[in-house]
Amino acid sequence: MDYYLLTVCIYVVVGIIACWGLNLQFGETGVLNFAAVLFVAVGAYTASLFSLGHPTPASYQQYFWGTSLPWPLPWLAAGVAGGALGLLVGLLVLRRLRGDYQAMVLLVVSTMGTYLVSADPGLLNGSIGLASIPAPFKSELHTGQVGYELFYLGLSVVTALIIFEVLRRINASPLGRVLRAVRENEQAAEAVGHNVAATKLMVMVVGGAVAALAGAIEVQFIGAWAPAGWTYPETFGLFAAVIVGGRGNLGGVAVGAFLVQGLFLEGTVLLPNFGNPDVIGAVQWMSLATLILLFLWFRPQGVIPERQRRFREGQPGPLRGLLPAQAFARVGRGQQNA
Amino acid sequence: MLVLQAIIDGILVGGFYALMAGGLTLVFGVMEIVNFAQGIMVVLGAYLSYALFSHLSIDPFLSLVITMPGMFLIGVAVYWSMIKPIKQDRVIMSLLVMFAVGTIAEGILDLVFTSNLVQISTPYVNNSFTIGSLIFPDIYVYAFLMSVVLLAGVYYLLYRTRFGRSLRASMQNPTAARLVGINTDWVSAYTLGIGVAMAAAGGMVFGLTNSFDAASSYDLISRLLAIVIFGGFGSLSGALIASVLMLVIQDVVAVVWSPTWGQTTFYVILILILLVRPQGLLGRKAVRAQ
Repeated sequence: MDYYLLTVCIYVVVGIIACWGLNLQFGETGVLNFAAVLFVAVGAYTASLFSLGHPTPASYQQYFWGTSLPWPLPWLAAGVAGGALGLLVGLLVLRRLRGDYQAMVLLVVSTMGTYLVSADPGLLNGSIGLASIPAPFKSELHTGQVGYELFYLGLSVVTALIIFEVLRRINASPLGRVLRAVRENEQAAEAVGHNVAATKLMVMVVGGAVAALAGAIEVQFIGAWAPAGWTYPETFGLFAAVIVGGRGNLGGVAVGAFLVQGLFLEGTVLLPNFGNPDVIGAVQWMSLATLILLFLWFRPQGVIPERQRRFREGQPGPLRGLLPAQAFARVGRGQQNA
Repeated sequence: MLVLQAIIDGILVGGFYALMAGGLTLVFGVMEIVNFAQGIMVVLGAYLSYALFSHLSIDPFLSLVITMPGMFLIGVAVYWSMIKPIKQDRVIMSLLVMFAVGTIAEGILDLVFTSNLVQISTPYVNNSFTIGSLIFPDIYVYAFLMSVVLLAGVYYLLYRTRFGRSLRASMQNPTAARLVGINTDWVSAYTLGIGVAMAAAGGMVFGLTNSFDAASSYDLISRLLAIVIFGGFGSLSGALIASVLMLVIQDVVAVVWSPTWGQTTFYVILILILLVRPQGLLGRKAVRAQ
């Protein structure tokens, strides 16, 4: 039971990180990244390739390239790969398309990824997927299974906290205001001189890197990764978590990820068996869909809504207490990044 | 010769894909919402025809007389109960709502029909005739003819009737359409109904030519979306061309190269098209005037 609970905890942390990545794109900036799960997958595959070692002809699984690097490097590589994918996809999709077109193209890009990986068994072992991906420090640490899970949970929680701090700072900075401006009204943001396309591209890169990191954490824990695990409905699971929790609020999104990823998608496994395993799968997704509908109807702002930000006279603002030159530099940087 | 056969197969199958994708693109054109449940609606149409055939022995083609009006009503009901109440962020919310509707429908179908693959197997399902050395399966020819008739009907409805005019007006400029007295809510509701009814017809053929279960909707919706993106959102002719192109490409690649790469090749071509023409083959301007 400890073992199972710890496993679910790690899944929840992974879900929270992935949802934070999506929240930066969808919650803060309004980019409908319907390829969210593709970024998780790319992170997972990258981390696998960077930890599996060179493929040998004798091996039972095929992949095009691989190396074996010590722990933080596979995760970092995954982050870089996620960012690169965000850049690539962003350049393809965000350029001249309207929001809803973007969403659809991203969704198709996501299924395309599934098809590509499944179609070519030499690339990433096709639809069977990669397996026996080594877990970091597992051979060095002489602990039992539960002890190791505890260690891995700690590792992922620390990573999550670092990501949280980075995202919190982005939100609180002038750049965060630009993101929200783009979300609320693209034309207005453009009119006051912000580069909307570049802003969206930036959140695709940063959010993509965060989601990829979630994939890396997940894959080194479960040790296997196959196309069936990242089909597009998973993306809706992530969106559901962001909406249920409260888009634009990091804490809220974490609660949403806990509710959706933990209680709905993992917790239903604990339900008494109805005799037919198909039934559980159907009930799982049906209840998730009902949850989405209920929230959209009755509480579209989510469990913990985004904090209303107000400007008040005399309140210590982000520029207060700085020398004028510093303040100008900060404002300038915010606009430059925009 | 194999290639020619593949091209003919592609065109014949492309016909009924055009029906299913046409419903999707029409709904998008009028309401700017993506009917994400179109895939499961196709499967629902297939199951309805399957049930009518296996329990009441009604010929699948004849069953359309029942399933199409039925599914039309479902579409209208979904509009009033699910889409209309959305107040803000219609685009994203409708997408999620339609996904949720599709998922619930899928769960119900899964529970009712179980996840065993079924296929509508009429006596004539394996008949075919040959011209020269080319094989024409009866079922594909019937399906193609039916698709042509139904699509012609939709074109007639769009360009020759009063309803079609108000539909096209709502497509071009919803605000102006409301100003001249068009009830865009009813136009939207009927359009969703028509789109879903087209899915019913397409689903019947899908059920005749493929074995299916509720999970078939995943593959279907990604194909339909790819077709619609390729052809250009909101363009019926684009969907038609793209369907035929997709199936022809897929079949030809399967014959000359490998079946697993058929679908993937189409996606690669789709990416190339998007690089040159982000709005799709016959899509309107990417950014519409506000």
